[in-house]
Amino acid sequence: MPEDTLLEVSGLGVDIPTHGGYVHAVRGIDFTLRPGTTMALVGESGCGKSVSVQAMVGLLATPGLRLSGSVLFQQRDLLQLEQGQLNRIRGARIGMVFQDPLSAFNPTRTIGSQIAETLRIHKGMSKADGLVEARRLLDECRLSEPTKRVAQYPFELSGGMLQRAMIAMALACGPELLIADEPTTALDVTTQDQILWLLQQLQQTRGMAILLITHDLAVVARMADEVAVMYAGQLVEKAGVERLFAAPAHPYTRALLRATPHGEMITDQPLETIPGSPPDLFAPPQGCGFYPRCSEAMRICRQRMPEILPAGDAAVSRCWLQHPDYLAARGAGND
Amino acid sequence: MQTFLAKTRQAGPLARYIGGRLLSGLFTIWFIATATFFVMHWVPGDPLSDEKAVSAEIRQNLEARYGLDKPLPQQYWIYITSMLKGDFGISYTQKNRSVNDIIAEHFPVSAMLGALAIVFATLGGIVWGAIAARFRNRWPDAVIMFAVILTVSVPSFVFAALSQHLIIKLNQATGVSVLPVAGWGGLRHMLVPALVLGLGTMAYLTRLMRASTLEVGSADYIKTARSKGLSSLQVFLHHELRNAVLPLITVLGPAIAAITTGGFVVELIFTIPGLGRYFVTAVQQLDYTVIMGTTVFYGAFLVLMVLLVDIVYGLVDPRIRLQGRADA
Repeated sequence: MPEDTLLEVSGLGVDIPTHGGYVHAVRGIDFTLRPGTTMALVGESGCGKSVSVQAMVGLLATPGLRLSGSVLFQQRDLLQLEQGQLNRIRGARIGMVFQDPLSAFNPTRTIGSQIAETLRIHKGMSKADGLVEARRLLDECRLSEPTKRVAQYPFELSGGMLQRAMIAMALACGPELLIADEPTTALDVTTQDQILWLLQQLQQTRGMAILLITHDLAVVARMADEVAVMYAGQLVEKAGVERLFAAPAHPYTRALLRATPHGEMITDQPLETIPGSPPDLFAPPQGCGFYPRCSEAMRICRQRMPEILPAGDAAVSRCWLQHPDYLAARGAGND
Repeated sequence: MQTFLAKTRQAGPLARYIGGRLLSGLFTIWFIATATFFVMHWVPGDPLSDEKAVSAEIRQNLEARYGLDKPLPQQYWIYITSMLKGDFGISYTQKNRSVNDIIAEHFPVSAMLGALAIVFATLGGIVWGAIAARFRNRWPDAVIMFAVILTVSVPSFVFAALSQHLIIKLNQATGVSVLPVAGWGGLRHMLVPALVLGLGTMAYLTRLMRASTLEVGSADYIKTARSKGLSSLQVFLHHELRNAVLPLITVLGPAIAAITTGGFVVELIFTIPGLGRYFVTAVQQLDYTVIMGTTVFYGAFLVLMVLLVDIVYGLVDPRIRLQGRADA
C-alpha cells in the first residue's frame, strides 16, 4: 500500500439478508482515496453507494450480514477490527455527515451536548470544555450565533444550520476522512451551495479527505477530484473528474450525463432519460448489469462482466467497449 | 441570567395552560358529581331500605335527618353547595362517621399502595420492555412477551391468591415469616400487594416500551451516534433509552387511574384497610354520601394526576417545553 493512500477498498462485497433471501447489494468494488482529496461515489438510488460506505465503517447492523473484501484505512483493515477498535476510529479518524440533518440529530438533546459527546469519548474532555470546543467548532463552520446554538435543540434550527452543526460534529476530533452521504440532498439549492462551499473551505484549512456520496452530477463537478460511478452494486467507471465529464468511457456514465440538465439546454427540449430499471439484486445478472438498458450492448455483455479495463488518462471502466480485442477489431474494421 | 429570562418568558404560557386545565378539571369533577348523584338516586331502593322493617314514623324521622324527604333538585343543590365547602356529609351505614374522616383515614393507605404499584409497574415495564427489544425475536423476547400476554389475560385476584399461596409455601419452607400473607403494617406488608396491583400496568408498559425502543433503535440519530464511535451500551443509555421512555409518560396518567381504582380487589384479598373497600361496600349498601364522596374524590385525584403527568412530560421533552419560547 503506497504511502500517499488514506483509504484502499478492495473487492468490497455486501450481502444483506432479507425475508426473500440475500440481496447482493454491493458486488466487489475497488477504489483508493489519497489524503486531502475528494472522491465522489455516484449512481442512482439503490445502486449500493450508501450501503458500501456504511459497510466500510461497520454501520450496517443487520444480523446475518455478509461482508467480503477489505477496507484499509491508515494501514488497518476496518472489516477485521473488533468493535472497540472500530469505535476509536469512528468519530475520531473518520467523521460522517448524513442526508437529513433533522433526523440525524437526537431530538431531545442540545446541539452542544451532542457535539461535546464526541469530544468526551475520544479526547476525554470534560462536559464544560466540550461545550466550549463545540461553540468554537460551530463558529468554524460559520453557524451564526454559535453561543446560542450550543444550548438549542435540533428542532429550533433550520436544515442548513443543522447541516453546519452536523459537519461541526463530524469534524470535532479532526478526522483524516470525512464521509458525506448525500449531504445536500435534503436542502434547497441556495443552502446546498453554501454547504458545499463550506466543505471546500474546511478541506482547504484542515486538509481532510472527503468521500462524497451523491447522485447529483453538478455536485460532483464542483467538489470531486476523482469520481467512481456505481451501477447495480459494481463500480463501472472510475476517472478524474475532468476526464469523466469530458470523455465518459462507460455507456452508463454517458447516459447519466445526457440525463443531467445543464446551462446550454433549450428549455422545450425534453430531458433524456435512461429507459428500463436496474437489475434485481436478489439474483444479479451474470453479465453486465447495464446490458438491458445499454444502447451499445453486444452479445458478450449478457454473458460476462468484463474485468476492470484501462480507459485512458488513468481512468478505468468495466465495459467490453474498452477491451483491447474490441478496440483492435474496431480499428481493423475502420481500415 | 439568560436561563432565568427564558424561564420567566415561558412561565406565562405555562401558568395559563395550568389554569385552563384546572378550570376544565373543575368542570369534569362537577360533571362526575352530577352524573353520580342522579344515577345513584335512579337505582331502586335507598340507604334506609335494607334495614329490617321500621315503622313509618321512624323512617320519616330518618329521612328528615338525612334530608331525603326533600325534592331531588333541592337535595342536589344542598349536596353540591356543601361539597364546594369541602363537606361530603355523614355516612349512612357507618354511624357518626363523616365521609371526610373515612377518606382521610383510608385514602393514604390506598395511595401508598398505589404509588408503590406504579413504581413497580414503571420500573418493571422499562426494564422488561428494553430487554425484550434488545433481544428481539430471540428467546428472552419470547419469554417476556408470553409473560405479558399471560399477565394481561389473567385477572388480578388470581395473582393475588396465587401470591398468597406462594408466600405461605415460602414461610413454611424457611420456617420463619419471610413475608406477611395479608394485613397492613409497614413496607413488608405492601411489597406483594403492590406488585400484584401493578402487574397489569407493568405488562402494558412492557409492550409499549418494547415497541418504542424498537422504533427509536431504527432512527437516524442512532446511526449518527454509532458513527461518532459510541459503544453500543453508550448508544443505548444516552440516546435510545431516554427517547424510548418518553411515550411511556403519556400513558402514566391513565395507568394511575387504572391502579388506584383497580385497587379494591387487591385490598380485599390482602385485607388492606384502603379506600377501595369502602367504595365497594358503599355501592352495595347504597350509602349515598360515601359513594358520592369517594367518587368525587377519586375524580379530582385523577384529574390532578393526569395534569401532573402532562406537566412532567412537558418538562422532560424539550420539543414540548420550548414551544412557547420558539413562538415568542
